Amino acid sequence: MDDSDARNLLAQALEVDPDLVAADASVATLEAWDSLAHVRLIAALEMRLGRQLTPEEAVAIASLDDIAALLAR
Amino acid sequence: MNWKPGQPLRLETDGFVLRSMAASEVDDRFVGWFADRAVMEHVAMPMNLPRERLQRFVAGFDNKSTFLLRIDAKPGDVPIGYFRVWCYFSYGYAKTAVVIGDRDYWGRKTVLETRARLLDFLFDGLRLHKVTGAVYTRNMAAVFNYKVQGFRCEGILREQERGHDGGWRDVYLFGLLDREWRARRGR
Repeated sequence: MDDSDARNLLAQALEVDPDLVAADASVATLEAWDSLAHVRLIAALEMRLGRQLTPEEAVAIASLDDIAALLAR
Repeated sequence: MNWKPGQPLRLETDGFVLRSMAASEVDDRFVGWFADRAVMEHVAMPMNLPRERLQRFVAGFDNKSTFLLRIDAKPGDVPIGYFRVWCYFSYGYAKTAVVIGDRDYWGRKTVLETRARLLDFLFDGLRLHKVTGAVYTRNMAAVFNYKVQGFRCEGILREQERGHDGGWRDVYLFGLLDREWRARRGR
């Protein structure tokens, strides 16, 4: 799966260079992924998708893979 | 730990002190948190409560099975927020809620650091089996903190509460078991 879109979106929310976002990036591995960055990420995802995330979707986001999967739907 | 039920509780981390709050300590800062729309957006309590009402609210916690723990930042013991805890010893679990009233402490891992100390107390000190928390589904910062700390989302309550704008709010239920916390702590 091409996750460059997800990586750029996450990097923007975390305010870091996309090159610093590893393929296995998650809330457990990225120091910059804090609560405020998470708020920015959810807002960016909703802006991209043009709709509010469902509670089930929102609570499932904890890694780059999760973001890529959501964008690929 | 020297604490006995009914006595004020004091827990400490590197950066903060959690301590039982007295009604006499309801000051302008505490009252102000209840008037701050950004702070109260995700808090299931009425806004703009008067000082006397908040004093009764604080006095209602007994330091036996219910606790209102003010979070003071070091150095200087500056109040920045509070935890509420309700323990159900017969059932082996506690419900918790946290509010960071001082916005300067948002996004600084304040909740993670202070709740870790509280969880140690609840699991190791009080020997509870489970700790739960409930949060509006749009409170993404709180959701993030629960997940990072190992809580699992155990359910979604649809349109469970009415927000300050009159709209209905869905609520996530999060839970953490004692063995899960000990595994994270390496114990």
